[in-house]
Amino acid sequence: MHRRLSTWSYVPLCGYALIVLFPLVWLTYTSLKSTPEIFLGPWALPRAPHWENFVHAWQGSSGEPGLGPYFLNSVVITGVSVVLILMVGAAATYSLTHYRFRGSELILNLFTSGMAFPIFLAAVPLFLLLNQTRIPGLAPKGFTNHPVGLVAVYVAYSLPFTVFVLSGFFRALPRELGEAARVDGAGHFAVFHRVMMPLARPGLIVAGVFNVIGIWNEYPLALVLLSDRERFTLPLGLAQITQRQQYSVDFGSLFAALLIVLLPAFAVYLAFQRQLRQGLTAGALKG
Amino acid sequence: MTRRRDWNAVGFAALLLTPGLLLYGLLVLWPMEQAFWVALHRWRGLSGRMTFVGLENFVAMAGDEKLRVALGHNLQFFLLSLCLVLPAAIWFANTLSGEIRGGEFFRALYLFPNVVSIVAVSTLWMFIYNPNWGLLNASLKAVGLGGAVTTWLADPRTVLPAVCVSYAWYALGFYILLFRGGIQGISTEILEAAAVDGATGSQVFARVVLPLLADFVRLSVIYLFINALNVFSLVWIMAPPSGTAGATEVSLTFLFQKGFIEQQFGYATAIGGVTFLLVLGLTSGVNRLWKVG
Repeated sequence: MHRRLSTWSYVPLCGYALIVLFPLVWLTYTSLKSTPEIFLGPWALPRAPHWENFVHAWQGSSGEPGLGPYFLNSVVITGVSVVLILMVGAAATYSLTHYRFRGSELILNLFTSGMAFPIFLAAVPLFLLLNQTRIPGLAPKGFTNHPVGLVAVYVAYSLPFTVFVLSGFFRALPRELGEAARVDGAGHFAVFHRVMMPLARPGLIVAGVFNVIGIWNEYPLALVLLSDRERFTLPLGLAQITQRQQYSVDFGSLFAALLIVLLPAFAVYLAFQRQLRQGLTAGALKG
Repeated sequence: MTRRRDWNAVGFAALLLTPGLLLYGLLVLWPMEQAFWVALHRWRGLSGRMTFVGLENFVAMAGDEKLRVALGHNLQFFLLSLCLVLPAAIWFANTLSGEIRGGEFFRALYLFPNVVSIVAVSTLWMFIYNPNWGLLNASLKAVGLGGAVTTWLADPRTVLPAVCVSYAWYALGFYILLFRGGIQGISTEILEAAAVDGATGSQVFARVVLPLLADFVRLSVIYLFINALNVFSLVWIMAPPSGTAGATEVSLTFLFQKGFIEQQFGYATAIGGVTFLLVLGLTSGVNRLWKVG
């Protein structure tokens, strides 16, 4: 489409760019200020960089907890969840799209219709279920405040989107390819694992990127299921620090904490823009 | 080909399907189904007994002034976010679909807020709204609007719009993406034909592009409505209703308060059920009206 744009169109465009980017710039230089400097107003640059803000944000200071342990919890929870989501999701989707049996369409629809279910409707029963399921040895006090419980919930609630995205990719793979491999003597598992999974790689990447961001950022389910501070994920930890530090004085390290949370999101965004767009568009147009 | 059933295939397909189906059934479908059952009970406290009370929770909700006010805030949030997001999203999507200088830069930029954790969005905007050293008041003073300076999140009159603006900052990129998809779907021949017929850029936009985007507008209205009914995290972190004299109470903060703080599980679940029914009702209502109109 060829249209000449008037100069005036650049005013809103640049305004929007400023609104998106300037807060990040502001955060960056303010995270190096001392708290008295912050109180002087937002425009001035730091006189000397206060790198200790980042140390305090990570380790905590004067009895307040730092983000470090929450960051590590989030890395583990997100990593394990996404690997499991891709394995469980790919297996289920492949089964439903390549071995058509009575009810396979129905089950596929049952999975993808979960995208429309509101989480909050299930919140109370889910909490009660996890709280009251006790397994001696593994979870004597139930699966709330339990990493296994949280990962299982994340995997389950990510399946609708994952199955939806992967079913598009798996359906596009020719069944003849699998049949040819079978004739050559490959077993069912070998066809799935060696032939189909590598071909579905682009889909796995889209689903993976999308789930990494979703779970890394997830707040409400974690809020409902975790109350023990040692188990907190990064969003819970940041929310807690934000709410507590309103009453304390160390704003410099609070800015640093926010930057620590934002930078991984920015990096993932820059690296995987295309996959993100694909995932978002696919999810959006399903509705 | 023989029509013999391949039991290896059946077994393998079942094996692949089982973990996903078990997790999904147990942790998603079962609690959803259970919700309708719990909502019909009076149930206070984890150790408390569950007493079947039929529709008592729903009757109580009908007379619950606080819930009515909360749903009113959801409605305000919806209307405000609609005004903030929809026109801007369509305008940016249309502008960015043209060949413009610096287009790559703007196209790379707009989706970023969407990958930021909602908790980080909340914290960031609490900083921006800080009455003493925040960006907003300082910017207002810098451009000579010092009279508009206020304590954004502490003032019951400004707090809900303030939260809504931060939501718009977070969400706009997603809707730009949605409309860009819609605009790319419009065939260039239609647009060229309009240009050949002498239509100006704004005429093409108003008479050709916009009508062809109707489905995407409908989708956006539905999404914004669902999101307005589901707004929770932003409010809970930036301006919890306990600190704003209820000015930011929305249906889900009310549900959270009832369910996870007061442990009135039956009542909380009933609120969730009604919120869900509102979503279903509006979605089908909009879909029907749109087809008639």
